[in-house]
Amino acid sequence: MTDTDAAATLREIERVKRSTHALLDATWFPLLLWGSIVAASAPFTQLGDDNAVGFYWFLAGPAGTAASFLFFRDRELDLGLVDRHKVVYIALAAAIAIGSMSLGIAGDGAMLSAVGPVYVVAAGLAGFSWLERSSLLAVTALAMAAAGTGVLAIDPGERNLLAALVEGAVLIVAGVVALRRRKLDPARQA
Amino acid sequence: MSDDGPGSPHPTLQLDDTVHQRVRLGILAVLQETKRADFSSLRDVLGLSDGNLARHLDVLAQAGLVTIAKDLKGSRPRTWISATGAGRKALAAEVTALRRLIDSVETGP
Repeated sequence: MTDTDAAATLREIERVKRSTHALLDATWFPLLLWGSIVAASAPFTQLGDDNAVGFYWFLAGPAGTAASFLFFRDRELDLGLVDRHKVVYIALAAAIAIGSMSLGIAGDGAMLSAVGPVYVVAAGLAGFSWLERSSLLAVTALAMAAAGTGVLAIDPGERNLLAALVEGAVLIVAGVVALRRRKLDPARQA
Repeated sequence: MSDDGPGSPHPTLQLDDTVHQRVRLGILAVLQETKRADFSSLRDVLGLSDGNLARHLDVLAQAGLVTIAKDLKGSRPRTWISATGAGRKALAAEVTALRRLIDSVETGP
């Protein structure tokens, strides 16, 4: 075997690994779903009753989790490929859900309720970006953390509303970018 | 002490004949990125025929590099293939040997 053959073989191994990784990538769905759920919580922050937002998340949180679970379960069966990090993804998603809900409840409508969950989500996205080797998720994590920090400077009366809108928008934009990249890249077509 | 001294074998001698075959390398590369893959997906990703894939899977399974399991859950039976620990190590060793081969040519004897 020559060094040229060896280099071609290495390139082919990398190409197959990259294309398999691209096929498995479905980050667009949770980004769009959770972005929409976060943005849809905005009107509930204006009802003048902290329980309204709490009740919204009591219903939307489990519904979003169930929708994500069903999406990835069906996709796994359709695709015939099971991600090697599946258990870690589930554990990380559970940690984000528990962490953000706990801080949301512990904050009792105060600043911690508005920004605490954002930092938890940003940290979770950073974890996903590392597992997925995804620069898009890394940028989204930074944007979420920046949005959370920006919200701290806002008048408390508008804080929860703007937090929901800005953070929802960050996730939706990231989801649209991920979906567009998937459509433009043939290797990502399932 | 370097592994590349005069007494160490040439990198080509470190290539495993079972692994060092284009299709089998492709199978192990897909399985490296996944926990498991079903037969049809593996066939489609690698652009192989059923018979060709089955033949190479037999070789890898007999060498203990992959496991093959039937699953009757769901609407249709499926055959799932996973890389064993030995399979993942074999692919990593192959990649290392290939890199060493390239390095040995670039740096000279």
